[in-house]
Amino acid sequence: MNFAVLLTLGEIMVSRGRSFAWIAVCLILSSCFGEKQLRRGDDSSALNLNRGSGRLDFSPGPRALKVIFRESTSSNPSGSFNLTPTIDIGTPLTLGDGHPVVRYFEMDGSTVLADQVTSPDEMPPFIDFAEVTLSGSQNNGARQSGCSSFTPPSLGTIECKVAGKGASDPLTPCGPPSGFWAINEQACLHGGNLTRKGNGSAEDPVRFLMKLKLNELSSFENLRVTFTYIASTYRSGGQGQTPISCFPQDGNGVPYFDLAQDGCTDLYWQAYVSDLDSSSPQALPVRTVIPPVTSQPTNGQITASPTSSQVIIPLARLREKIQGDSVYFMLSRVNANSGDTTACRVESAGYSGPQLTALCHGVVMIEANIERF
Amino acid sequence: MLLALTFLQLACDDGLDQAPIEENTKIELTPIQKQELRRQELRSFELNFVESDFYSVSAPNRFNCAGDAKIFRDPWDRDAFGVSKPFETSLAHPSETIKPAFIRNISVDLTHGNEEDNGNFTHPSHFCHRKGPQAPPPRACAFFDQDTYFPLPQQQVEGINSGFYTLEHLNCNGSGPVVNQSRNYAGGVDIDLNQEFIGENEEILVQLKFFPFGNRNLRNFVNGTGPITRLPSETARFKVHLSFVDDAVNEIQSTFQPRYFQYFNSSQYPQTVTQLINLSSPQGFPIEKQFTLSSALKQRFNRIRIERLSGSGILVSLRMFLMGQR
Repeated sequence: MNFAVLLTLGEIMVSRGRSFAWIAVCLILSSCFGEKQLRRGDDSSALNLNRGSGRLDFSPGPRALKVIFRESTSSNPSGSFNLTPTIDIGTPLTLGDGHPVVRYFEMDGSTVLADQVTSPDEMPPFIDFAEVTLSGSQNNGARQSGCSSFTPPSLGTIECKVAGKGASDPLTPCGPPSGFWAINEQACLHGGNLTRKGNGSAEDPVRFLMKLKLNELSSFENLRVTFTYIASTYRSGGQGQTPISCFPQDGNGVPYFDLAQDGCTDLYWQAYVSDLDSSSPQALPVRTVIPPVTSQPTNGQITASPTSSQVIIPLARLREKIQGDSVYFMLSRVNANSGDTTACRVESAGYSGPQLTALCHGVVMIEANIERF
Repeated sequence: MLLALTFLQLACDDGLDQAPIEENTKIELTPIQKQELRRQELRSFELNFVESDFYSVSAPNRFNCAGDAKIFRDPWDRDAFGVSKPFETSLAHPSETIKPAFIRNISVDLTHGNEEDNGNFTHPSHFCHRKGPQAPPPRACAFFDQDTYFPLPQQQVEGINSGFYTLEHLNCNGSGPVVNQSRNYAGGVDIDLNQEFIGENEEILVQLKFFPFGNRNLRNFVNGTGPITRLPSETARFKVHLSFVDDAVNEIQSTFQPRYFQYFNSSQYPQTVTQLINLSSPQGFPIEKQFTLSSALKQRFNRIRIERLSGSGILVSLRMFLMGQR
């Protein structure tokens, strides 16, 4: 083989002249034996990978902040959202018309970093807006009020009967934490207004969304969003019990994995990144956040344990795919299964609301830490 | 001239350990060389642990070995089913797609490469299975769970026929590389990197979607009985470790299955980070884990191993992103 190569090189030198042959020699030596450094002309995508900058220049603005999924007033700020209107009509799904984040916190969870009213200049420049959607008549994908809402204080004292408890045993407290964004799956899945599945589009009916301004972030920056939440499902066997329902087949008989298939999971929440402003938006599923669920009413008890999930968004890589200066990050409820609603239900005396709370079957979102790194 | 360069590039590709190509505007590159440049530009990929995306026991690679990934996918581009679309077909190896240059090879352990087909015909991959008295019997321990492989030898439990890479603890008896722990350490994934194509200060984001079983999951039929709850011993205990493996790609791809026998030798292939992350989730939920490999670890490894310590589960997909140079 080497002889053949040398012979060919000789032919090149004779027929094309010395300089051209040297280019070929360099190419060959580099390709087979030489240094492994990539070059591709002046193309901006060239990968001069071994060049360390030594110093990172982050764009201005806070590099770490917190969204608290709780409603409160500006005068007594304990959450990132203002109080919801008394009339429970929900929010439309138009981007930017959700219930907005108006307050960001320092990572200590108590110091207000920025308030849209009292300190608008301090609002993080890389977030155009952030919002959650609420259910109700204005939300055409989740019309049932109480599916996605901030927990009213009146629910704080409700009690539930959980399977495994004797008839004469006392009930178990099951009120979700007051004021937090709670998704009660009984309201979402029952009644006449079944909540639509999400898929990362603008039409996802139950979601937290941030519009990120890429021109306010340096090209190397990535994001880490750490969600803290309670995810609870009442089915004693629980999701994932029979895994086969998660593996349907495509038109060619090739199996694929789909958590959104009915029977696969009792709760399915997914983080997406998408270019919703483009004419043909695409949603990239970044990470499955739920499952796992962290709380299961069982043996007469509800152990509502908060947990955290980190979602790392490779923004620097994403820039190669996104046209324009903005991108949307979304945590979306994709699907939930109903199952046996008798296993955990509200039985407080005199209570007339939905018989299932988010602590029986649903999600209570507590906070999100947002870090640029 | 072009013929010579093409010939030379093919010669360089012979060992499949790619050498970078420089583009010079004065020389017209061949289609293979242009594709090689596109490969070097790929900074992310997705791999589905479904059998059709791997060389299989009935359709092995050119070394008659099964278990090497052949279809790499674009994590940014999805079809109507939400499945990521394959990269373009490799011109050098038409049975494969191209893969990012920072990946040398990805391989899964298979424990059934020496199974019989209908009791007579032996699959081609039989020739790439360990031989001799220490060769483990064919087991549905680490395998792509397809009904076409059943019935396997007696006393083995059935999977759920998902079509995905499956680890079945109870079938691993006699399969493991450690004496007296014969079910443990059998099965896993080896991700071999080419660090030359990863920036000195660049982090790697790894995402694994998988189904770690617990004792609340149901197993399919056993000897004609109905579904039964899995045993506590079947609870998945998976982890990730890092090591150095300097074998050429064609050596890796021709290593007999199950390959963990070869690479379990820590004196020859030292584990430099013995436990990067524990992937266990005793609750039995399908989950997705993200973890990063920082540049501080760059000099410590060129192989990422997703390892089954014990227990059962299904691997669904793997995504990797180079996070950008700093």
